[in-house]
Order: sequence, then structure tokens, then C-alpha cells
Amino acid sequence: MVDLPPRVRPWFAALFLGVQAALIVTAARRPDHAFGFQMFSESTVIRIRPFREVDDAFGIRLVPIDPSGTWVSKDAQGTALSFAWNDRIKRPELRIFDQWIFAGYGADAQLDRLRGALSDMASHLEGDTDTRRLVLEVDVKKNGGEPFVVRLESPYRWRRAVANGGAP
Amino acid sequence: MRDFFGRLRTETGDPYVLGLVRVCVGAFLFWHALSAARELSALGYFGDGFYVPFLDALSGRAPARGVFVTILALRILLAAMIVVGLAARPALFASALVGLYVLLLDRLQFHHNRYTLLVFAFLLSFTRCDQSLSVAATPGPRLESPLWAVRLMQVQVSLVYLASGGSKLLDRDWREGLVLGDRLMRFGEQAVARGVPAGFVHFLQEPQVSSGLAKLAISTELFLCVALWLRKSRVFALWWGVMFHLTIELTSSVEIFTWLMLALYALFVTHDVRARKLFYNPRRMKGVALGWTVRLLDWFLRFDVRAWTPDEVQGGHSIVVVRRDGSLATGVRALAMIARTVPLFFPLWGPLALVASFTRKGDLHTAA
Repeated sequence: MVDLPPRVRPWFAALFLGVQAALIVTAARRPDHAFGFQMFSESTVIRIRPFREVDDAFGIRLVPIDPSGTWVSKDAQGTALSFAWNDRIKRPELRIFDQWIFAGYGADAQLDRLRGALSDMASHLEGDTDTRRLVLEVDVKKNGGEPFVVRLESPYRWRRAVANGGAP
Repeated sequence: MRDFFGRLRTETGDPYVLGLVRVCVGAFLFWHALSAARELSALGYFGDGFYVPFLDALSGRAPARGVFVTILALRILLAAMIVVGLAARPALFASALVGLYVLLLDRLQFHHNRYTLLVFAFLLSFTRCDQSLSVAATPGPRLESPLWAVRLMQVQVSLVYLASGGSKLLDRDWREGLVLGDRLMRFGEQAVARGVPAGFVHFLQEPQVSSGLAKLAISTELFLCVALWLRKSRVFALWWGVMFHLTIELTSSVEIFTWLMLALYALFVTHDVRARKLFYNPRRMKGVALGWTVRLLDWFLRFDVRAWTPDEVQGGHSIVVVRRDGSLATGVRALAMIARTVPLFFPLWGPLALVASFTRKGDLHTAA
């Protein structure tokens, strides 16, 4: 490993500290405050309740997904298809449903990650013609305060065209 | 400020303690790599499912599973090289870069302590940390080494405290104790399981107490970021910081953060090897036990430990410490001196120094 020449050291130090300072100052703009050394920034717990939004003979409605994260849908031919949230979403903090869990990096980070997980899952439901989109209702208790509900929705996978009333 | 940057060019010192820091950082990197391997085994490869890269350029570009496993094996190998001191500096540099790459691939795996460790591994690679406790160290006396990267690491320690304490200070919920109070409620049982008395945990959970503790925590972090630099306050700051981090360790799950920060405290230790002497009475069990204990645990090499032949002056004591300035200490003052300089006993320094401050007994006032 080559040692930096003496005249370069102050410049290297200034550059390094400048980058660190910039990362710290901008950390609040990132939902998880990454690179900002903001330890224990919140004490938040969340409870995730997953749903599928379907549009069938009964109209548009929300169908609860089992807390295990599995559900059965059907394809265009009416064949039953099994799906599991865990197939795509590996992190425990994003796949424990109907239980209060600690959101280590705060509500914003957890909701941002759940939003991403929801979109990712919805885009990997190959063959599922039943599910229009996925929805999560997230109960959030921040810093011991009163709980509030945040509703997260994936992009629509399909929508019934109003003009022709056609199938997906 | 100009003086600080100016000294970065020329300042040198004994690099012994950097070897210790290197071994610790290597062990932490090893632990993290093993944890990642365990996670791979338990959860599967993150690239096969949902993950969130920090940079758009990395989106959809997770390496194949086999490549990731190779990266993991490389991280374990590099960490082992760092610990034993084999090409330690390039291994530190490579560890930092590879670790940062993995971190940037998936922010779901981001943890402050992991990033902090990588930053310090990177900076440590610019020091002569391979000159001690290393299979590759050249025999003979260690050469004075540039300290610029050590100073940068010290600034980085202060930055960590400033960012952490500053963000809490700006957060009303933190200032009022709501965050800490709620955390104490949630993790109280964990603290009890780790040996903290239940009654004490319940006391801490009282709103007024947790509010006071929150203000103390913020003050502590902001105090540490400055006091570690001042000669007069440094020892107390180090002791207070040790207590602060041990408390966090007992009441929270922070992976290796506690031990990383405590290892980095070694950077603030005055780099003087064998500048103090410890004489022990070989005819007294207590003297022999203390002498050998200090020999074994004096990881900073602060003491020249020797047995003496008891004479009229020293015969009444199990140990005598000769301080850096040549003054002598026995009894509780000697114990305080040992606690001040031996890392494992350092938590005892506060109470011992307090007891010693109430008595002149044990201060022989005799130049060596």
C-alpha cells in the first residue's frame, strides 16, 4: 500500500471530510437517513395488513391476504394459481403481517421500503388475471404516540376499460 | 483549522496501538461477513427477490448468486488477513470497497454500524497499522509513522457523535424524551434479560426519568465530540463514553457498534509505550496476581512490569506504580492508575479515581 505524499494529505483529508459532511447534511432527505449516523432516530412500531384488490362479478373489492402471505388467484383460463409474498420479499421486517413489529429505521424508511416491495410483488404476479393491484394498510405508532393508518397501493396491474367493459 | 491541516503533513508517532485497532476492525469485518453468510443461508440470495439499490445505475444489476458467494468468501478471507496482519492495509482497503459495493447494492441491508465500520476500515488502510501485532511486521523497533490518517479517524469519530447528537437535538420528540422513553418501554425486557435489575429498568421507564436521560444522551454525544480532543477532559470523556456505549449495549441491539466505538477510543490514547513502571512484591500473592494480570491485559503496553526485592520502603506494599512524571502511587491510587491505563479495567477508573480523590494515602510524592 503506497503512502500518500505529505503535500497530498491535507487535500485528501479535506475531500474526505467534505464528502462526509455533505452526506450528513443531506441525510434527512433520505427516508432511512443513510450515511448520516443518525442512530435511534425514532421509536416506531408498525403493523402491516395486506390486501388484493380484485375486480370480478362482485365488483371492485379488497380481499384480505392471509397473514402467512399466501393467496390463490386464477389465470385467464380460470386455473388456480398460488402466490406467496415471501417468494419475492425476503426481509423479515417486510413480510411479517398482522403483528406489531419494530421499525428500526423509522416510519418513513419502513413505508418507503414497503411501497417498493408492494410494487415489486405486483409486477411479479405472472398469469394472475384476478388481482388488479396489491394494497397494504399499515398501522403506525411513532414515538409512543397515537396510531395512525397509512394505505399503500401498488400500481394497477390492469384496469377494466370503461368504454368496452372488456376483460383484462 | 489551518494548523490542523498543516500538521497532517508532518506529524508522526508510535504506531503500536494501530495494530490493536486493526485486529479489532478485522474481527468486526469477519463477524459481519459471517453474518452475511448466515443471512444468505437463512433468507436466500437477496438478488433473487426484492432489493433496493442506492444508485439507479445499480438497479437490476445485482451479481449472479455464485458471484455474490465469491464476494462473501473474499470478504471473509480479507477480514482474516486483516486480523493476522497479512497484507493488512491492502486488505482493509479492499474490504472497505467491497463492503461499500454490497451496501450500495441493497439499502435494505444498510445499517449505520456497518457503514461506520467500512469508513473506518478505509481510513485505517492509510495508517501503518501493520507495524505491530502482525505476521508481516518487520523485526526490531517500530519506526515513527505518519499520524495524518489517525487524526482523520479521530475527526470521523467526532463527526459520528456530532451527527448523532445534533440530529437528536433538532428533533423535538427526542429532546422531550418520547423516543427514548418508548424505546425503554419496548426494550426494557431485553435489558432485564441481560442482567439489568428490573426495578432499575422500571425507574428508567418513568417519563420524567427518560426525558432527563434523553437530554443526558444528547449532551453526552455533543460533549464527546469535543472533549475527546482536549487533554484535560480526554480521560473523563473516554470513561464517560465507555459507560455510554455499554449502557446502549445493554439496552439495545446495535450489532458491533458498541465494540467498534470502544476499539476506536484507542486512537485517542497517548501513544507512549512503557512510559510507566509497575513494581510488584513477588512474596505477596496479591502483588504477584496484580503484576501478572497487568502483564496479560496491558494491551497498550503502558507499563514496564517488574518484580522487586522488598526493602524497607516497598516492603509494605503489594504494588507500586511509577507514573509518567516519575511520582509514585500505591494502594487505591495505584489501582486507579492501572484502571486508567488497562483497557479491560477502564470502566473501574471512574469510581476508583473518585475514591482516590478523597485521600492522599498512596501518593508517595517521591520521584523515582
